[in-house]
Amino acid sequence: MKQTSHPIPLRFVNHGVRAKLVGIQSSQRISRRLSELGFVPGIELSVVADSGSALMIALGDTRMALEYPLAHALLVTVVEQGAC
Amino acid sequence: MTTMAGLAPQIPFSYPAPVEREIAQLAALFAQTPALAVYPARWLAIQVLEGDETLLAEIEAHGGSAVVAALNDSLERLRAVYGDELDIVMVDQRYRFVHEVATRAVTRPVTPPATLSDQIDRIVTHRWFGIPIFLAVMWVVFKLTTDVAAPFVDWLDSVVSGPLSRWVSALLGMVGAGGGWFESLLIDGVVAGVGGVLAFVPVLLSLYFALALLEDSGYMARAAFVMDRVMRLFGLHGKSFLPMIVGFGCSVPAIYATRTLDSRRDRILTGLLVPFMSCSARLPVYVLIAMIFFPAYAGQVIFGLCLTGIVVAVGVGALARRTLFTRQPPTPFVLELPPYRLPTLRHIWRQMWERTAAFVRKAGTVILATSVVVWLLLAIPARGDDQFAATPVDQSAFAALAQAGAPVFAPLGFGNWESSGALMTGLIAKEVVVGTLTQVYVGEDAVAEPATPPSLGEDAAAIVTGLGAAIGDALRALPGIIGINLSAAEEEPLAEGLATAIQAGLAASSNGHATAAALALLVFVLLYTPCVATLAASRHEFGLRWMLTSLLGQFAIAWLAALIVFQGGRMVGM
Repeated sequence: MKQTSHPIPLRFVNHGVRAKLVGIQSSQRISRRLSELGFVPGIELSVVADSGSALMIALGDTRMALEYPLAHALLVTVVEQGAC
Repeated sequence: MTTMAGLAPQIPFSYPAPVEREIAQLAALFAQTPALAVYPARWLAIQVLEGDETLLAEIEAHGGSAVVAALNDSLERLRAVYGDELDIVMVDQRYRFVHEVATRAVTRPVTPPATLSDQIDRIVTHRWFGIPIFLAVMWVVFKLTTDVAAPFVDWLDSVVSGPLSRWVSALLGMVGAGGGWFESLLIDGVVAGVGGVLAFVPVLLSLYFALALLEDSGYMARAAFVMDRVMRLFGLHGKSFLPMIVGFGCSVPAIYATRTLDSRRDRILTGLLVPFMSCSARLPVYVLIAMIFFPAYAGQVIFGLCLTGIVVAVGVGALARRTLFTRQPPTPFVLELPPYRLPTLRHIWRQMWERTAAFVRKAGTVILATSVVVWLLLAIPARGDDQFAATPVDQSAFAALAQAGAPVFAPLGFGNWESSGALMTGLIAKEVVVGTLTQVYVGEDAVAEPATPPSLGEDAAAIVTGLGAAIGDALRALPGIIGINLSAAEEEPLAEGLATAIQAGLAASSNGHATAAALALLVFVLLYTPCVATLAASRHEFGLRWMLTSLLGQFAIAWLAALIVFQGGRMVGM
C-alpha cells in the first residue's frame, strides 16, 4: 500500500484511485453542508466519473455529484493507486 | 400501546465531553426561556452550536440578553478547543456513531465491489457519451409528449366542440334559456375555456409519465450531472436543467419544477428563463405561419425558432446575472445520485396523476376566467348598432382594443388589429393565436355545421369510437419514437382562404414586406409575455414583482427581437 503524506485537492485525484479525506478548505457554510452530506475527515472516497464541470464521487455506498470548485476545496491523501 | 422507545435498545450517543458540557448548560437555559419553548431544548442547543443561522437569529431576537450572552460564552469556550471546526466535529461524531452501529450489524467486504450502478454510470455519465445519450433520451420524451398525446388532444377537442357544446345548448333549450347571450357565454366562454384546459391534460400526463420514469429510475440525477456543463452557459448549474426541459412541454409545470432548486436566486433565475423554451402550445402557431410563408422550409424555420429561444435564454441569463443577481453568488452544485432502480408503475401513476391534477386546479381556473373575459370583449359591441353577444368580430370591443394596441406593432410589420388581437388572445394560451387568426380573417363560418344535429346516441357513439381511434393512433405513433413511421403523414387542411387572407393582411400592414413581417411575428410569438397560466404559476412561486418582471421583460425582449428581424429582413429584401 502506497501512502503519500502530502494532502492534495480531490480535483486532481484520478479515476478509481482511493483517497482519504483530511480536511475541507472552504467557508464555514460550505464546510458544514459538505460534512452533513458525509464528507467528514477520515472517510475514504474515490472519483467515479467526470462530466467536464463536476466530479462523481463514491463515498461508501453513496454517489455524489460535486462541482469542480468544491472538489478543489476537499483535501485528500491518496491511499492506493487504482487499476486505471 | 408500546412505543418505539420501549422496543429499541438504548444506544448511548454523546458528543465529546467539552461539547456535551455546553449543550447541557444551554439546554437548561433554553428550557427556562418561554419564547424558545416550542423547540426541544437539547435539539436547539445542538443546532445553534453547529451554527444554524435561522435559529441563531431567532434566539438573538426573542431569547433575551442573558441567553444570548450565555450562548456567546459557550461558543467562545468551544472555539478555544476546536477552532472553526466545531460543526465538523459534531457532524463527524454522529457519522462515527452511525458507522460503528453499522459495522457491528453488517458484514461487508473491505473493498466494496463495483456495483451495477457504477458500471452503467461508466457509460451513461461518460464525459463524451453522456450528452449524446441524454439528447437521445430527451428525443424519446418529446416524441412521447407530442406524437403519442396528439390523438387524445384532438379527440378531447372534438368532444368539447361537438357533443358537449350541443348537449349544453340542448339542455338550455329544455329549461327555456337557449338561443340568447347566456347560451353563447356558456358555450363560447365557459365550455371553450374548459376545452382549453382539457387540451393540456394528455400532453401533461404523457410528459409527467416520462419524467416520473426518469426520476424513479435514477437517470434524472445523472442527467443533471451530465448537463451541468451546459447549464453553466445560463449562469445556472445541473439542477436547473430539469425545469428547462419540462419547459419545452409546458412552462407551467416547469415553473413548479424550480422548487427542487436550493437557493431562491436559482429558482427565480430559472423561472425567468423557462418561458423562453419554446413550449408545445406555440408549435401550432409556428406551423400555421411557416406553412403559409415558408412552405418549403417549414421544418427548418420551426427548429430555428426553438434554437433562437435557447440562444435568447443564454443571453438573458448572462444579463440577469450581471444586473439583477449581482449580490447573490450561485450556490455550489452538490447532488446525491441514487442507485439505479426499476420504477414501480404504482408510484409513476401517482406522480402523473397528482402533478396533472395540480396543474388543472391552479391553471384551470385562470384559463377559464380569462376565456370568459375574452368572450365578454367579443360580445360587447363597440361600433355599429348590433346587440350584445350578436356583434361581428370587427365591430366588437375586442377589435376596438386590438386596434388601439396595433400601433405598438407597426415598426415590427404586423400593426394590424387582426394580428394584435390574435396576440392578445395568445395570452390565454399560445395556441389560441391560431384560432383567433382563423376567426378574424375567415369568420366563424369556416367550421361547417352538419345540416341535422346528431342525436344523443350518435354523439355518445362518436365519442367512444373517437377514443378508440385516438388509442389506435397513439399506439401507431409509438414506433415513430424510434424512427419508424407507420401512419401516413397527414396535413391539416388550412381553412378556406385563410392563407391568402393572412398574406394579404401582413402585406398591407408591412407595406409589402409580408415575409419579413411573418418572420418577425414568429419571433414575437416565441418570445413574448408568457400565457396567463404561466404568469399565475410564476406569481404563485416567486411573487408579484418577479411575475411583472417576466411579463414586461419578455414583452420588451420580444418587441426588440421582432424589430431587428423585421427591419433586417426588409433591408435584405424579404
